[in-house]
Amino acid sequence: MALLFTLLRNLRGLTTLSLILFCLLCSNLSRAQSVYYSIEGISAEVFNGMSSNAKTLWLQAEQKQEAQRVANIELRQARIKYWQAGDTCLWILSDIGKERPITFAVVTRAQKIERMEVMVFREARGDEIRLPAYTAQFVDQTLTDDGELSRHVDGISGATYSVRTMKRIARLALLLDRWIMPNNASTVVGAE
Amino acid sequence: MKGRRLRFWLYRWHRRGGLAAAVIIILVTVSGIALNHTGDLELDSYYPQSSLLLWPYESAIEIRQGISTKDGWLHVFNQQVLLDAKVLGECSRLIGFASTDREMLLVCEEQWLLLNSDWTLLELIDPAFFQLEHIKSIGSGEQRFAVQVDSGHWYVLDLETYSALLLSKADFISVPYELTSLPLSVDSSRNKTISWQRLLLDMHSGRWLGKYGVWLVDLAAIILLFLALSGCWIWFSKARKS
Repeated sequence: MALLFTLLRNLRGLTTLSLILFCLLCSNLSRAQSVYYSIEGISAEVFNGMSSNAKTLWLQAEQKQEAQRVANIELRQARIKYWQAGDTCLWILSDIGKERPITFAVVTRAQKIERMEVMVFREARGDEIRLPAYTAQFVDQTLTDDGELSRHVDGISGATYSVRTMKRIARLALLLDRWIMPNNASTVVGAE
Repeated sequence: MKGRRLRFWLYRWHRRGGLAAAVIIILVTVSGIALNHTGDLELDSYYPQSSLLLWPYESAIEIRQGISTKDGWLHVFNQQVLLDAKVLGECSRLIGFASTDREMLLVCEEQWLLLNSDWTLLELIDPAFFQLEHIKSIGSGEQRFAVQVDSGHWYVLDLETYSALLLSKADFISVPYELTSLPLSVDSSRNKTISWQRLLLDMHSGRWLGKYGVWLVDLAAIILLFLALSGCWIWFSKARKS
């Protein structure tokens, strides 16, 4: 009997402690920000000692419209900065997930994605998209004539908005890569 | 003779009392009539915006802040930062603003906006890359932007390499722009808390007039009672005499 009382008392204490911890976790989650890569870190990995140049792509009004149509991203800014060494380009791009911006690094080469990483994640949930098993689905993706990714990307339950954002950013990066290639600068994708 | 003197005294104080309580009685009467028709007038769905009417609720109403510039007010509305009514970009919370001769930097909590001198958005910058915790203010000097963190240290920003360098001397940095309360001309619908119903209820009870408002309305009610009784007395004593 005494053992039962002790157990119940401890259970009550544990429940209270769990509730306090849960509340603390929730309050932290609401402002959480995880930085997985710095620009120097990702540049060093991508370019592997090769010297890269920081470049700027100035956006035209038609390009902004195309980005809206293909990637469903409204580009308000006049320019996008990127890093290039040979044919390899590193794009640092952000878009809102559900409520907060997620920043990605996308490495493109010859209009294919070579690598895609989550650099900064601020949402309360959905950071499974940064796992290598998931980002691997974006490797070798290209942009079809319809403005879609060439292969299917699986969804993640509970990370729907983050997955959508990642797909949008992938499409945008491929579009940007197309624009900086002199031969394809005027190609319009997915025009109706 | 005694009755006549009493009637004269009542008559004189009836006039004085009526005048003294007039303002409060008018206020209570008008607010009471309006409250009787709360449903028809939809008083609980509309919100007054006049700062004169809202003065007792200043602490309860969220005062939005913004930054005054030579071209207008910078402020955040619906997760967007605006220059008066022109949308500049996404922003969850405005922290600061600084300008050099050629460029301007708008610091929001989760995104920085680099603009040129005619307010065209040039670039979006992720503040996470600068690894600065809790930015307190932003300034500029010698054509560079600098931010001050909670510890009081200033960091000069390199927007080419996305890096921040700790400044040993920050005396060349000036902070001309500060967050202040938005004027009603910009923030015309700031009150979404106090409805007309609540305002009229508080006016009716006297709470709108502050700490002693309820007592003032009580006093007006007593005067009103006196007016009723003295009015009756004057009327019936005159009728009895005639």
